[in-house]
Amino acid sequence: MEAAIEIEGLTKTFGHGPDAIASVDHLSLRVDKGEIFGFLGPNGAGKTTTVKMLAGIIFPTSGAARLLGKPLGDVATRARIGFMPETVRLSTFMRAEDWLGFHARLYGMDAGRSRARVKEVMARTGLAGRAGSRVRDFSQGMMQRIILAQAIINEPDLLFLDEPASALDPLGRRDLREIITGLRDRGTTIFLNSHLLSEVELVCGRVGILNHGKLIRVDKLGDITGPVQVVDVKAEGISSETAAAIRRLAAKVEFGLDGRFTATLDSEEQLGKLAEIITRGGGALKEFSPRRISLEDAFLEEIGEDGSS
Amino acid sequence: MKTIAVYTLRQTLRSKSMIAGLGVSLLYLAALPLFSATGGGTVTVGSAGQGTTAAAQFLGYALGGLNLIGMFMALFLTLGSIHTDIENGTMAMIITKPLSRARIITGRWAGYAALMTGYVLIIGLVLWLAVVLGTGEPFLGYIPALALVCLNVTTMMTLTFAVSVFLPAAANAVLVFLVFIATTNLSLINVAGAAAGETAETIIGNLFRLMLPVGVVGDQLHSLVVNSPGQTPAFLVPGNLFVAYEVIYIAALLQLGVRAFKRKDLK
Ligand SMILES: Nc1ncnc2c1ncn2[C@@H]1O[C@H](COP(=O)(O)OP(=O)(O)OP(=O)(O)O)[C@@H](O)[C@H]1O
Ligand SMILES: [Mg+2]
Repeated sequence: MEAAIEIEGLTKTFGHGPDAIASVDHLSLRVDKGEIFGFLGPNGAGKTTTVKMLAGIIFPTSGAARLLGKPLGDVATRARIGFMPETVRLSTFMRAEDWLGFHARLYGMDAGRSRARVKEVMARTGLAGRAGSRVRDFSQGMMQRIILAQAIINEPDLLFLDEPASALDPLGRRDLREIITGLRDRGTTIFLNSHLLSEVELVCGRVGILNHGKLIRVDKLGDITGPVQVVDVKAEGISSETAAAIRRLAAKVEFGLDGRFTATLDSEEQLGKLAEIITRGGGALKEFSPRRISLEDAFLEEIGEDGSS
Repeated sequence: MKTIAVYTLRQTLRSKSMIAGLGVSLLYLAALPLFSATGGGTVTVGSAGQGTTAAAQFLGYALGGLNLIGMFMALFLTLGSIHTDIENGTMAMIITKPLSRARIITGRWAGYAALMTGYVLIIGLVLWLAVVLGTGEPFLGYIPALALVCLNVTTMMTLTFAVSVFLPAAANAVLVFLVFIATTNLSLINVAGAAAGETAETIIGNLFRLMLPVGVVGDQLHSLVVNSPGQTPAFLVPGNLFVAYEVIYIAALLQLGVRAFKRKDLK
């Protein structure tokens, strides 16, 4: 697999002398073409700093990186890259379509193509009716939508999103997910900075966790959240023998009211066995919901609940 | 680069500073005829001698005013340009497009230069046309003088613009304004020097002018228009050398801005 992003010992230190702190500390990472990579970490972990270095907004103190095979700072490659910064309040007098048109022109599109793309991305980001509105009068969520729109206007091969959903309403989040999966389907690599873990869980294939500027874990989402171990069950007609058999099988069982119980198992294979025990014993299964450890739990465990790992 | 220049023009044209500046300029233009009415000069059609001299003096005076207003407008329009763009996050989105940092800065500078030159040329030509049509005299010396005003305004603009890569708007205004005042005053040392026949003082005074080389052209405007360089004291004549220095000054400042911007961490 070809790499879209290769990062080698990337470091950014702010300040000088004894006050200097490494916001990003010898980060090495590789993201393959076509991947959706979730970059997680608590506030101040260095996610934004990392993306800013990759986008060429700030310069690394040391280390290097390649995007789409070209070293950082290669101007021509930027035509194939989209960058959505953390949401800012734009104060331009320009109308939404002119502002987007300006960014399309910066990508080198001619007038005709720029007009077509502006229309397309405004529709995609739910701003279709606001082409003539002034950007400065936009609400926070609309600001975030138009900042996303300028990042995808060139149909990028590599897209950086920094907290893209922080101000979006549920509809906006759905639009964003559709944009992300739509781009992935046409082969775009996406690097998503987020602490909205549920957003990450819905779209990312692989996840990296950053804390205090250091990458503490990189894994497939499924490996981080782990196998199914907990299952919520509702069943009718469970005899005391069946209940005893369940107790023997599971590592832990908590019985509730109306035949509800939650069982913690040692492995995913035991799920089938549990269902079998219940039906063999004459019980009728009404609900059977296996639970994954949420990314949130895994995340908190990785960084230490107080964030001081 | 053109995209950036056009963007700069459009953004600036809509800014409140621009509207305020244009308002003052129009007031200035409207009030100027008062001079010709009260200044003893009669700007009469087709008359030579006294009338022509008065008209020339009026033009020289009006151009001096345009020079000053233009320079301060350039200062106020550009004092926040790059720094504000960086702070409000606009620059981050521009910088990630396939466009080198040098081109971004040069494009922005070109937008301001076009705007300020256009402004000076339009007002200056309106003034000139009014007097030429009124007197029937061409006042050809006015044209190079107007070009020098464009140069002056561009110099001031470039200084403020280049400083805006480093400093926020308020600090920029303080710095450039004080440099302007200091240069204008310190350069007067050469007047004293010349009066006392002290070459050293004359040279020192002229050296101070190099800090912000807009004063010399200002002094020269009048004589250019009246077309009698002999009236200007020798130590005030800028000559082509000084104009060349001013052009180099602009190029060097722009280069400085570009270089600093190339290495700068943005937000
Ligand atoms: N320009 C700067 N000067 C000094 N310190 C900085 C600068 N930019 C970032 N930092 C520091 O670097 C660290 C990482 O910041 P960064 O913005 O990358 O965090 P983040 O992971 O994006 O956090 P968040 O989730 O809050 O967005 C923080 O401690 C921050 O204070
Ligand atoms: Mg951040």
